[in-house]
Amino acid sequence: MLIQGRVHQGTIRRGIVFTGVEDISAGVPTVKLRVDKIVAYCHSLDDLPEGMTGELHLTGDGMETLPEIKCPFTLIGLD
Amino acid sequence: MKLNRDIGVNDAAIARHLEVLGDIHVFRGTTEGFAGNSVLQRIGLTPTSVDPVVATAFASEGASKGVNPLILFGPRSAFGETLGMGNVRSLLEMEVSIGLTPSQFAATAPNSVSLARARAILAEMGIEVPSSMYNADAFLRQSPRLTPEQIRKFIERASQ
Repeated sequence: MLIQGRVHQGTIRRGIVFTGVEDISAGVPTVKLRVDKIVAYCHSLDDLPEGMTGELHLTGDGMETLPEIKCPFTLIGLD
Repeated sequence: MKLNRDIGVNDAAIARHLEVLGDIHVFRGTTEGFAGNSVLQRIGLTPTSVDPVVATAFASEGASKGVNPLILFGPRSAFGETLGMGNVRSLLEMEVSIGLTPSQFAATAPNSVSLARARAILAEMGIEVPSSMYNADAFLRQSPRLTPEQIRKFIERASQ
């Protein structure tokens, strides 16, 4: 699955795992989504710093939860 | 001049900018001396917007970090021949990229205006930008964008 957005806090690194999705209307669904690839400005990156926009290519469990959540949402719980 | 068709403004908008402004003008909201993040330094790219409202919003974000927020701006011709693609939010941010590191962009930009002055100019146009925002996203989703004529007025006022 591919999601697009902007990093609001911290740095997202390739290989990290998100363990939750924060959304006011939907509560906090449990997920286990690994960042396999990061792309920004047609560059494949190892990390995406705070404030920057980009694409995250995710694999794992709970992906079916994401399309049901209104944007914007926040992936939380970095391993 | 090369213009990528996937940038944050469509061909008709580009034509209007060229007609009214004589060039595509780019604006970057930042803080004084900020060298950009490590990725932008590494790939040699500076995100900018063709709309001063967007740049002012990002300068307002910079204000939340507390260090001399400002808007750097100038015509595309001052920065090189090619405008690059914006990123995943290019439509929201009216974004184009410039093939310079943020430090190179800052050193090259022919004009700058303080956040306070930019806010005052936009307020005269009826657009209120907060003096400080932790996150500009909500503002960007509800704020208007300037017409080329309004951008020309902003440039004239900000360059005084």
